[in-house]
Amino acid sequence: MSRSAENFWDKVYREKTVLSLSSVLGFLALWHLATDILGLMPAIVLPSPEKVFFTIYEKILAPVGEEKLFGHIGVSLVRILVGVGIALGLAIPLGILMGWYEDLDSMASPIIEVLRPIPPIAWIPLAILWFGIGLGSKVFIIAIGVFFPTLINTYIGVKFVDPLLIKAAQTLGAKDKDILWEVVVPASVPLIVAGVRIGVGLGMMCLVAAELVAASTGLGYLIMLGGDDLKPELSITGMILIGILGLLADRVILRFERRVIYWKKE
Amino acid sequence: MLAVVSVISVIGVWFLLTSVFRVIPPAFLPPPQNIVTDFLRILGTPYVGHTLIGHTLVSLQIVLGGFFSAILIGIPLGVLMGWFKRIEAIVDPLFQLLRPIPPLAWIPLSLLWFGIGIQSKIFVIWLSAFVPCVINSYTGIRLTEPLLVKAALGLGVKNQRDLLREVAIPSALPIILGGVRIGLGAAWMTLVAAELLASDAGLGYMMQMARRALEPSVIILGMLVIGILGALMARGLRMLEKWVCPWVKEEEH
Repeated sequence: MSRSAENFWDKVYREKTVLSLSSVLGFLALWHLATDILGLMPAIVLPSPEKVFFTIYEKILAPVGEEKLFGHIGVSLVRILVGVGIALGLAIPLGILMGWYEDLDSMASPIIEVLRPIPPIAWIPLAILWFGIGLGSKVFIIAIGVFFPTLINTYIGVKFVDPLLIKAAQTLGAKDKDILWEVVVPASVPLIVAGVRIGVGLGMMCLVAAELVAASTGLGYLIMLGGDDLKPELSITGMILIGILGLLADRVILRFERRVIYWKKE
Repeated sequence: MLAVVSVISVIGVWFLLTSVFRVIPPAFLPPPQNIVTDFLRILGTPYVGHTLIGHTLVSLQIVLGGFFSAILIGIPLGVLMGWFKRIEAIVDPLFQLLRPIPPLAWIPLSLLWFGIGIQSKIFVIWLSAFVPCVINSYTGIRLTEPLLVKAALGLGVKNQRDLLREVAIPSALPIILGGVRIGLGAAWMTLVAAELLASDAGLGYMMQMARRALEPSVIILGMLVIGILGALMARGLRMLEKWVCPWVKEEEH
């Protein structure tokens, strides 16, 4: 690359940073201007950014409903962890078996194909009827959300493993069982992890939906309460926290992926 | 063959447990034939305000309204973000700030802003479908093969607009349509959540009312209708995809 080209890209890069920063700052400034200074929006419609910030600060110490802020975060976290745990415990083994044993595949696939198009959130009324409005119904809905993407990806991962790998293992004298556990499953880990990532994203949505519809704790409850009590700053607090939680969950999965599939380059 | 046996045996076991041995009470899981009779019942006579068709039309109207407006705004925005570095630099950071928030979480604010009418639901559905439309259009344009651009320049394409229209957009089309498909799924999910929370008609409302009346067969009916409509629309999109970009090979889904 010639010198002038380098300068050109330097300039582009600097300009991009400036534009990006000013865009975020401009957004906050507009928000502040519209709410606090010009008063275009009444505080029960859109609270000012400072108000949201102070609400977060305040609710760390003062309880909202049954819990303080960290209590609500903890409750949501427990729900999502239990739901994800159950879903992974069922979906990954089932996916591996379905991908490996054709008979099981042709028996289970049609049932899964019937259930899969139903959005997990549409299970909420039935879940409440079956498990009440406690932990059970939330975990059930989250588990359904996580289950299908994980199952499908595991299944595809196992089913479409490079046949060459299997042949090589056979030539080297591996038994069927060894091929499954030593070759096929490790080879499908990247797809499985990708499925878990999609699933957990969906699971976060299910968590919010379940907590919006029926809960007295959790971040979704905070979001709902803010709407019901005309305290949008509470809703925005919950939305920000759920966003951060989702980002963190994604980060954790990515880090896990990098550790497990160390052989795969970025 | 196994497939047929397996579906029939699931329904058979369901029937036996609920209808013959009565191990499972009908308020918990109704026998399969109840779903059929309830289907026939509410197809003609209104249930909580509308017939099944009425509720379905209300839901469809909201989904399609939000979904199409998301396509109309999201795809052009994504394409512009992918093509013009300056627009990307301005819009992308805002987008990255808002993106981690699940669209569903906007429902209470949306109700506060737009009331419990149709606008609040269209807004959240728009939001849910908008995000994948933008992201995929943006990614699709950014992934345009540089060789194609060079070839077009070599063949004498002069202005940016032609390059965008004749090279970048067609090459990004499969990815853009993938985003549309993701958006459709998100739109259905959000619709159900919005209707469960606050509405006076629609499939989600029907299911919520059925839950209060302890009529699980109507809930299951609602789930089936939502599932079938979602699957049909996804199938339609896939056909459109094949028709619009016939060069893309069938991939495994």
